[in-house]
Amino acid sequence: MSISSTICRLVSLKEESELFIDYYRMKLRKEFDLFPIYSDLSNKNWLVISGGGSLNASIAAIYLKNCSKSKLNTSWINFGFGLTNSNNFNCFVIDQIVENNTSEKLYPSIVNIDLFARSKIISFDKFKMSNDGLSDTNSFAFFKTMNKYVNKELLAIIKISINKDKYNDKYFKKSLIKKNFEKIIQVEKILKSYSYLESLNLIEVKYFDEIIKKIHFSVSQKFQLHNLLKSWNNFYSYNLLKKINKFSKADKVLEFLRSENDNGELNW
Amino acid sequence: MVDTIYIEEKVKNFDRTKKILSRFKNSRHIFINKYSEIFNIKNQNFRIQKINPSLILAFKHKNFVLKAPDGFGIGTSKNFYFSHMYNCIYDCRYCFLQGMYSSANYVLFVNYEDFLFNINEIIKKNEEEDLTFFSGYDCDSLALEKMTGFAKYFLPKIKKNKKALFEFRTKSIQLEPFLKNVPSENIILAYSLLPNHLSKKLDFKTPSITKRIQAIKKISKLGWKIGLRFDPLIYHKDWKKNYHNLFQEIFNDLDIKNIHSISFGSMRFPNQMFKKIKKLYPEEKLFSYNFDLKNNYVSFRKDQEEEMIEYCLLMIKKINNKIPVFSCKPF
Repeated sequence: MSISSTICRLVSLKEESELFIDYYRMKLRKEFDLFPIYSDLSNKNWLVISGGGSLNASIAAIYLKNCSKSKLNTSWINFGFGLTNSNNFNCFVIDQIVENNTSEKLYPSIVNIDLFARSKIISFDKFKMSNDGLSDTNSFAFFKTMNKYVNKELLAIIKISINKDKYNDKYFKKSLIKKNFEKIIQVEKILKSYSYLESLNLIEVKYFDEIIKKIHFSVSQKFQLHNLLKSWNNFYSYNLLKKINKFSKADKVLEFLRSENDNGELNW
Repeated sequence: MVDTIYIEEKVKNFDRTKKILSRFKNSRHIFINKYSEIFNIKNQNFRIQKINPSLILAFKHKNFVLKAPDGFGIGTSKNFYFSHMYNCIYDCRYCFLQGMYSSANYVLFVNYEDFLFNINEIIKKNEEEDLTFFSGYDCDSLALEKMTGFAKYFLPKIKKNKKALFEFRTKSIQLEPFLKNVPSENIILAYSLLPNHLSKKLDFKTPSITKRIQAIKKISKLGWKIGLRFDPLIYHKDWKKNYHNLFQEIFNDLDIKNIHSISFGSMRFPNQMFKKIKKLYPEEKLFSYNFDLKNNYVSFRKDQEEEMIEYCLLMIKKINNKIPVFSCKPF
């Protein structure tokens, strides 16, 4: 059973990316030149630096989705800084996003993500201070865009609050990220566990690869095999390969599995 | 228990809302316009949300009471159901709610008075008819009682209305509102039951069958009418032995005079709903079974259903042949 728990990250600025790049030993993928894209050797960890603004966030997210060949079970994180007029520099998980121009609201999922305090954020076109808590330029665009492709439980937005005075202080910002980085990684682990649940229908089922290597199956037969094996694995635990050794044609294997499943007993 | 509560602006100043919120001092409150901004929207994962559902406090505007599906009833000529909540704290693998909503968050409609008003209107319009109102169709009637206070509000008011039967269907052992009220002939506390061994495999986060049976015995001794709901009946290896044992456990030391009725329900899913649930739980053996697909409903084969119902009926008749028995087909 192979499970691919890929995580894609979108940040606006280089300094927001550096710790992720180091932690996962990601390398710049020069073949992708629309936005800087990084990935690790396993191609399970990806990051794009979008630059500021909502349009950049949307385009960069879609570009990363395509470059990373992300699937329905890929989790996504939007990490960065949110402007505040306070002197508290805390890390938040965003659970409500308001688009400033339209007042449209979005509600990211927060299932068991309790490692940080939660906050609302106002998304502006350009970086601007809000009187109503945190503000940024990309949360709304990121969430709205990516929720079209993956379930909202696989999307997380993490923002560290920062004021205007400190916003251009790269070293200070890096120290804030460092302070919260361990917990950010834990959030990623939670998303990976949700990715697994989302993957249950995408993962290859036991014996599938072995069987299609041995016997030729057409595309539609592969689809049938996949479904039949899913059920078969819920009923039986004996070695299927030994049993189907005698078959050389795909339809015989399918017929055998159908008959086995028809006789499957509910015997908890 | 609930760490996020979404509150519709319309209900934020209701006393009931404030009372509920006061129970969750550490939870995060987020104000919304309509519960549909959160609930049952596209691209959500029911199974992930079920890990830790949020609560949504909402206002119900219409459709307070609906006609029960054909074949659903316990002896009266007209049957209705109402749901003060959508979704349930329990996680029963055969539950249709998994396929009905894409969201596992709990929606609680806090305008209980409107439910009551609509029920009374239906009773007035159907003066000559026998009616039953079922609670616990889109939720469990009592599972979140401590938080909702729904039965506490409802019981004293519907007790007066002897013209209609009211059934509270549950798996909960939260009996407080029943213990604090005097029993009434027109109110039935109905328990959903499965063989113990099966319940351990399929009923998650619920009180055990033994605890449910203890609650039945306790509440019936006080004079409350009890409904025993074997719904769904599940065909499995050794089902005869397991249902036999279940009946033995229930009827041992149970005062039968307070059993209002027994009903058997077949496990049936609309095909699309079944596909959706199977996709959510592909590793669940139950959904891999070779079910029948007939008239766009997925169910055990007719002969299996009939065999189970016949056997269970026989068992019940052996115990006592005066208890009314019904066979419900909710879809």
